[in-house]
Amino acid sequence: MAENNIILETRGLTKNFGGLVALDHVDFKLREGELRAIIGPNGAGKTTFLNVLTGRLPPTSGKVFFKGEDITGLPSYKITRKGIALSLQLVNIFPELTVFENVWVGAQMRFKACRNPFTKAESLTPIRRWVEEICRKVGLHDKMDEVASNLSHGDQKLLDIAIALSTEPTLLLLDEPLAGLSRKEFAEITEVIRELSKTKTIILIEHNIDAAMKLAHKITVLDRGRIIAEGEPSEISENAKVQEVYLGRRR
Amino acid sequence: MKRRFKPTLSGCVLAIAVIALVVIGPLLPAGLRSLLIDIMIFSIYAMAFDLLFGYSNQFSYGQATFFGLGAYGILLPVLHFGVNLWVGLLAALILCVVFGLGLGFISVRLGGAYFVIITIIFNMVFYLLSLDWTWLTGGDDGLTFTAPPVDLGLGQFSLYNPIVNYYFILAFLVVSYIVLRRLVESPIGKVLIAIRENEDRASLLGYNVFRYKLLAFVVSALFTGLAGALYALRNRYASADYFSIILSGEPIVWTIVGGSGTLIGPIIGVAIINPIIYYVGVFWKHYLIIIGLLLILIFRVSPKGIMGVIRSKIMGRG
Repeated sequence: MAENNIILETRGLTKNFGGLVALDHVDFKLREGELRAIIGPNGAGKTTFLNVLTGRLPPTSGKVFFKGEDITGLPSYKITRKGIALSLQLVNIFPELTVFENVWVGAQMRFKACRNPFTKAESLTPIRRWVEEICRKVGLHDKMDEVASNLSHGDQKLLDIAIALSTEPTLLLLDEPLAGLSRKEFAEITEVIRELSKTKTIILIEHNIDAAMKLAHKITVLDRGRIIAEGEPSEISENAKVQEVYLGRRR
Repeated sequence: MKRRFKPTLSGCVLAIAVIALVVIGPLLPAGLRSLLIDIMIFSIYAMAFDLLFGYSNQFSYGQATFFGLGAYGILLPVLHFGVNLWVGLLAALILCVVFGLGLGFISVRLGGAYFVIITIIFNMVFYLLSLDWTWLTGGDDGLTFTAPPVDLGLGQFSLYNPIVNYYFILAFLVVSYIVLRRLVESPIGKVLIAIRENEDRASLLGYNVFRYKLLAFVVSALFTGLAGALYALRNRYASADYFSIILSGEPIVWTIVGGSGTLIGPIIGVAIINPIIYYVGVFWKHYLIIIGLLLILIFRVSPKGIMGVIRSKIMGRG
């Protein structure tokens, strides 16, 4: 595929926490429309990678390019406005607001509603329709009036994804969306991610290797801050280095 | 269309309350009318605090800074330059916006406990300066001035007439309520609520959290200053006490009693607390015990204040 299809690229991305190297010269490329899984053992630097991409942590060195534009060091709100949305590992919602109100906040950003400070928010019909559409997409349309803190963990995860989608991002970053779910919720969210991958570019960080193998087009394996392997799921499962990282060195 | 936002007290109930206030104004005994005027002025102050604390989760313990600035902002130009009422009021509001931007720029960025501490420090600095700079403020003794007449184009009305004073303050309360209600129900208000609920998430959605919090801080300073200016006008007097830290604590009590994040709640808080001070305070110096007990009762029964009870029992939402 041609180079100009690259939506996200990092060059020599490094992040140190004191003496600890969390990311070590990571060169990463992501094509538009791809669903890329990033896997790796605990402490591999997966979440740090997302935090640096989204401006939540400044990199120690290296560059991040989004759609060819250098976004290194921009504050996270500016990076979001460029079209990158992040759903965190821990549920990150507005607990006392309803599902509808939760999604509304992001939808307002998409429609730049704050430019009309004295409009009544409720009267903005296009936003209302968009919120309803997002809720339908993730399967929360019949729970729109429920207060978010009353939802089950699985529904809160779905809501978290819905909030991320509400800004209509080009690139969606999902940090372990399948962690801690019941079997039913796991299947539901897997299906939602599969559906989303038809229209969005996604980076999925996942501990559950089976799920990552099934969902992703391509997999990147991180270990101690470095990319140790990258390729199609079948290649990764055969890769000796990856097996070593997960199962230990063969004696 | 199905309503999907939290319901607020319907405009109808509020319109009836305003009409009632308009009708009973001239019929009231002087003492009660005077109390109502105080309640109306402090209601503006309470709403301004609620915008800051109840909507954007910024717990200021120094709002009297702007109350005092508003009071002196109108008093000094009227006293020294003889400007008319509207110019004086405008000067007070501009002063509060300028200081709101300056102090907000420093304090809002800090957030959390640092925000509380720095607002107390600002308040103390202004209080001590106003005590010290007697040439400007009159210090503890304060300054008196002649309230300029209200010029509405149709004729001039004297604020020394208690009925005119009553309607003048009522008009400001109604306008302040409408403006603030409009703001919190606008898209900007929704962002402030989102910031209150989860600042990190709001930032991840592309909102410049600092800018929105600063906006709430400045608008709150503006309306607090308006309340201070009206209080100075009503008393034809201001002193260093207008910057007192006790005055910074009062909106906290009103808001906790009435229910934060509602605008109406803090008004209810004022309407409950101030009569206690007015009627009980005159014959029992330990009247604060009653307010303390009331606060404990509210914390026990309804941490969301009286509006919390109204919302859950009458309007079906917590």
